[in-house]
Amino acid sequence: MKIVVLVKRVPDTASVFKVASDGRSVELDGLKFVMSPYDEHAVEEAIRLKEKMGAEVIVLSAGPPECKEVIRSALAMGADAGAHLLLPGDTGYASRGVAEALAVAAKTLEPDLILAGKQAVDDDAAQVPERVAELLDLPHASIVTRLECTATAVTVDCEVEGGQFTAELPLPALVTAQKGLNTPRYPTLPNIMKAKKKEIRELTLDKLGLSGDRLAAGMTVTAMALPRQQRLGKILDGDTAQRVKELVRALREDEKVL
Amino acid sequence: MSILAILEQRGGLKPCAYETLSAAATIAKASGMPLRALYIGAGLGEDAQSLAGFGAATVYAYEDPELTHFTPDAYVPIVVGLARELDAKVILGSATSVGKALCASVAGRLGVELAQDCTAVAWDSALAATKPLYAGKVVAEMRLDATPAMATLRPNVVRVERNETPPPSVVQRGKPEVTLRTIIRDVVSAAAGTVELTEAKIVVSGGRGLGDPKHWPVLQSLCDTLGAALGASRAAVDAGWIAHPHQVGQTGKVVSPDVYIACGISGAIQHQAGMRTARLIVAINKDPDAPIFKICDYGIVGDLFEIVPALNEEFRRVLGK
Amino acid sequence: MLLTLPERLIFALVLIGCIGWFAQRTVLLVRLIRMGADDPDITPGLWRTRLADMLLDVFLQRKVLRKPYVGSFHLLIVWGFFVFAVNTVNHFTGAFLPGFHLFGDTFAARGYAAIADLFALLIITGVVGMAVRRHVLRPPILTRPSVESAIVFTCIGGAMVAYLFAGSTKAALGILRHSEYHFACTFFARYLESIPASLLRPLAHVAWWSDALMHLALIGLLVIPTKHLHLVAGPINLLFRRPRPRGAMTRLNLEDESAEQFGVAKIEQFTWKQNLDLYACIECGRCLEYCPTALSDKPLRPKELIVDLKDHLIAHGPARVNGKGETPTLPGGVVATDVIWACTTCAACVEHCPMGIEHVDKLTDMRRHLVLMEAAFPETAETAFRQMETAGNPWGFPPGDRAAWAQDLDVATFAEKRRAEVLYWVGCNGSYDDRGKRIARAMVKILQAAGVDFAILGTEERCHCESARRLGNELLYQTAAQEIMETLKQYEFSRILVTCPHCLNTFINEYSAFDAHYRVVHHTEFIAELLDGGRLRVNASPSGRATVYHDSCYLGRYHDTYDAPRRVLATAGQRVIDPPHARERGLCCGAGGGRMWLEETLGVPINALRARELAETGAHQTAAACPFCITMLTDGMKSAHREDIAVLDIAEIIADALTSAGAHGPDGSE
Repeated sequence: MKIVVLVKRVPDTASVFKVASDGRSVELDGLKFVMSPYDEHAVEEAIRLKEKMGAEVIVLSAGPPECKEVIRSALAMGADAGAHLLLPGDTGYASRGVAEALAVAAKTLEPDLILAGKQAVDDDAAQVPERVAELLDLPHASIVTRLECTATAVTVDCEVEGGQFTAELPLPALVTAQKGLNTPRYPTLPNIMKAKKKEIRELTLDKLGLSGDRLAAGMTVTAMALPRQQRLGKILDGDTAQRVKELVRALREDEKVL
Repeated sequence: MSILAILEQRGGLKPCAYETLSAAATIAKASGMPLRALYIGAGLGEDAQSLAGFGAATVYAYEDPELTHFTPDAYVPIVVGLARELDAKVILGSATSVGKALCASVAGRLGVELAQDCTAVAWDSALAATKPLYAGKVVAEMRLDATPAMATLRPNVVRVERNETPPPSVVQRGKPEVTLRTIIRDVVSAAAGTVELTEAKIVVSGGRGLGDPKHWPVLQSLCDTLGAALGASRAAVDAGWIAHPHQVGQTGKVVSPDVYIACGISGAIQHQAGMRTARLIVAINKDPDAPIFKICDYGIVGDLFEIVPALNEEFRRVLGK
Repeated sequence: MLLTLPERLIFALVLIGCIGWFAQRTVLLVRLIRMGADDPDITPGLWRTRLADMLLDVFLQRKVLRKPYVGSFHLLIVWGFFVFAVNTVNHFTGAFLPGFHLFGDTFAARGYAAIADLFALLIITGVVGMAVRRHVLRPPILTRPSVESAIVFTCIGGAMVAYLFAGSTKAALGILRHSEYHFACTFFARYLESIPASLLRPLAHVAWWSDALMHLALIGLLVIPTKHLHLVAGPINLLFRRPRPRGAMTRLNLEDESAEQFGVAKIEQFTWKQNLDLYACIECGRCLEYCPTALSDKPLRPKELIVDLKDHLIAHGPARVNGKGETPTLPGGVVATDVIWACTTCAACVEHCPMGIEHVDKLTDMRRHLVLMEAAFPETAETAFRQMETAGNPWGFPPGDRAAWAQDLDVATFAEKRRAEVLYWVGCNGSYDDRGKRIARAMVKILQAAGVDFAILGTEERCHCESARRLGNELLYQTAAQEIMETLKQYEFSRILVTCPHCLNTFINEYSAFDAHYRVVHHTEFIAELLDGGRLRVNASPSGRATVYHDSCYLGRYHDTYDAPRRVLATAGQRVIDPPHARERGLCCGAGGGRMWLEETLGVPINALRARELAETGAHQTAAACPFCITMLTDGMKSAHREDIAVLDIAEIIADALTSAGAHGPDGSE
């Protein structure tokens, strides 16, 4: 069995973000990059499957050369090999273009199961895995909190608002991981050292017979803003009834959270 | 050419279905393109009448017991087929688990752009979308020039506006001729009151200010009203008032809900480490110097035994419970 | 000549047998030690100092005498041991060479006779004194009722009684050499004079044999081994004391591609010195007396750790050295993981161990195994590890917000200034914790008042991950260390100022292993210096608030700084009170060794224990000089319902007491 895990290199969510001078992108200089947390759950699940039923786990990531660091950390967790699809530039890829390239790359790896995080925590685009599945015509399930696998099928619990459902998908299939799926392991030092020696296949658009043009987005960011840098710090005045009313109003109308 | 709104159902239509339709209506109006709605499920039935007031002339209802639950196998060909049939220039859906998965799949099939989880959409000779990135720390304004352009809308952000237009006519269609590879085995509704702390949208937490473990019901009833999870500070856990799985903080759970309501919690750094990424922080504490007020969005200085029940009543009132 | 020929033959056989057995046991004991790994911290050289230190510790019993009662009794036995070494040689050789004496027939031999008699009596006094303490008075630190110790006491005391018995029978028979100097033997001989010679002679044989056999038994106790072994292993252990500072953990070579093991999972993976430590333990229990985990009913009790490891080494080591098997795994097996994770690394055990045993590194080495090899550690440690790694602080606050506390303070960064006299290393607590920020602001007020040329690193600062290192995460620590040393290389400064003793220890004691040497000063010392130099003037508050000072372990026991903080407080007019546990005997707040990031679920919370003790001094406020201590004690006061006692950093107390007249403006003007 062969499992391919799609992982993405993203800035750590604890970072303080700044809008770059073009006003349309985030300043990436000085940010610390990590593997997107949901992808870690996907990698962990792949390794657990490997430990349970034997499998080859290949981690695939598309992006700038630095993506290899993220691939290495997946290898340190226990993945067997990596594949890095080098994309020109370091940001501003559209999900469509990346998904199309990843689908071609993933196909060359002939996976029985593709795992990915439910979304990457940078652009929160939440669509690349589903696109890849559709492009490869694979059955797929999103936001999975439990996964069981046999040689021919995978059974998953999918989270939906207000509940969950259980689905059974024939292999090959694609599944996206949600937090509750597992607890990603902390890599051990020997595994970190071993990871340095594991193979990372280098893929390029050229090698895959793809044109860079498809990467160009059919969408443009026209502006970027930082909505609220600081907490509001609004201490409400008045008697209890007034303050409570104002709080509920603010949460519903100003913040639109309830 | 048309604007297509995908109506989300779970049994009946969900509130977000009307929000999507309302947003699509705005775009239809601005672009001059006709608005069409799409329903996929067991049966639209009487709900068709509730779709009045948006200017949608037609709702395409794909009805079949097998379409009760979302599977990409069944749903994606429907949306793809209808989008092509209607030459949809804009396709809008809801940014729910199902809506996002469906739209991502459709976008993949159609090879078009999709902006997920938008907080606003508009028409400006192309679809314009406002979308939070980096867990809401950055907001991007984007234009989706290629068509059809797709977007999903975050629930609760669009105000539903209706006009005097009549309900759409229903075009009933059956399920498409596809092999369903995915089999739905079991559907479970989450039991009330068992919201997992780390995944809850709202967390209500109590600390030392609670004074005594017998006062948890004060917070629990607020949790019940809001569908929130109950959290606690380390001080409350250390005092033995509540079990450790409820602890929020450096040595407990790390939570990032939309709203975190801290009641009687001073907000020491260990606690902050567990909740500071919440989108909104509400603090209720009788000590005006408590550090929690420095990191809150809304603060009420006062006795939590007075504030919290009043807050509960107000929420019950406005939420119609 | 007392012994008959058959007796001599028998004794010869006994002696040969014993020597053979002793030799065999000794070889085994040495092989068990040599089974251990190399000890990179035992650098060659310094032998003169080592020897001098060891001799002072052995002959003057420097550490043992910290407890005067038991120390004095022990001193008698130690000196007696050296005195009786001569007697043992004389006694055994005399069996074959009648009249043999190491000192011949000299004045020394006569003097020795009197001294030996004297020490026989003193040793008996010492043994009785110690035995009464251990078995009758039984102070709380001597918990395990030990048959072994009863046997050792009996043998030492018995050997002395046998010596006196043998001497007095000889004296009664008139065959005791230098009998006029053997005052004790001749004294007891008087009571034997009434015994008829026919009975006296066999009695003398019995006495001779009992004397000889008791001495052999004492040597046997060494090599069995019992805790009596300490009398040989202890001095050797002191001689091989690691010369590095107490705060410097051994640097692991993480680049070693051939290494298959990091940290310690099995007894043979300890260094030979660490295993020698085990032989040296006499189970005196001093390591328990100020141990925060032992005092708070946690499963870690350093003495029991050492004894368990020693028993394990003796039980399972021989099979391993003889190639007949593997030793069982220590962490989680021989040593429970609860024991391993409980340690706060406060070093009270190490400080008070008279035998130079290092307890702490055994635990941190096992933690290294658990973290680096098994990734098996408390869940909450992982949160801290990941956040230290990605956000550069243990709480996961944005790295970009690190200097936000100083935004309105006119504090320059090195990025702007490139050089300054003092690099103020703010630390994570001062950068992010509301409480810590107040201390950082107080420190800045002091620096500005004294006109000190300083700057901070701002967002270039990051956590040095000291607590991760003590939790066993050497990789995280070394990665951070490399990064920090690179940052520091870019700028010019003459000293690093820290307000956290853990930062102090890291820079001063640990970075030297990476060939980075800095002059580092803790803020209490720095403030003392500013006050002494007249650069800072404070109002000695006439009210003289009673302030109890809590010694931070990493400032006190790791850095020997006890007086500066007290002096600074006194200068500011505080009436400084020491709690019962103070200075070298200070009690940890519970946060050291990375415990800050772990839940304390077993026993009594250490911070509450300490806070109660501080509160009971009747002080109005508590002063401390470590952000960990301040956090823990503030919480401790809350849980002890003594929130009325404020817990303040010394910098805050001084900043409050600054006289406006003595304060310089930010530009240095008065």
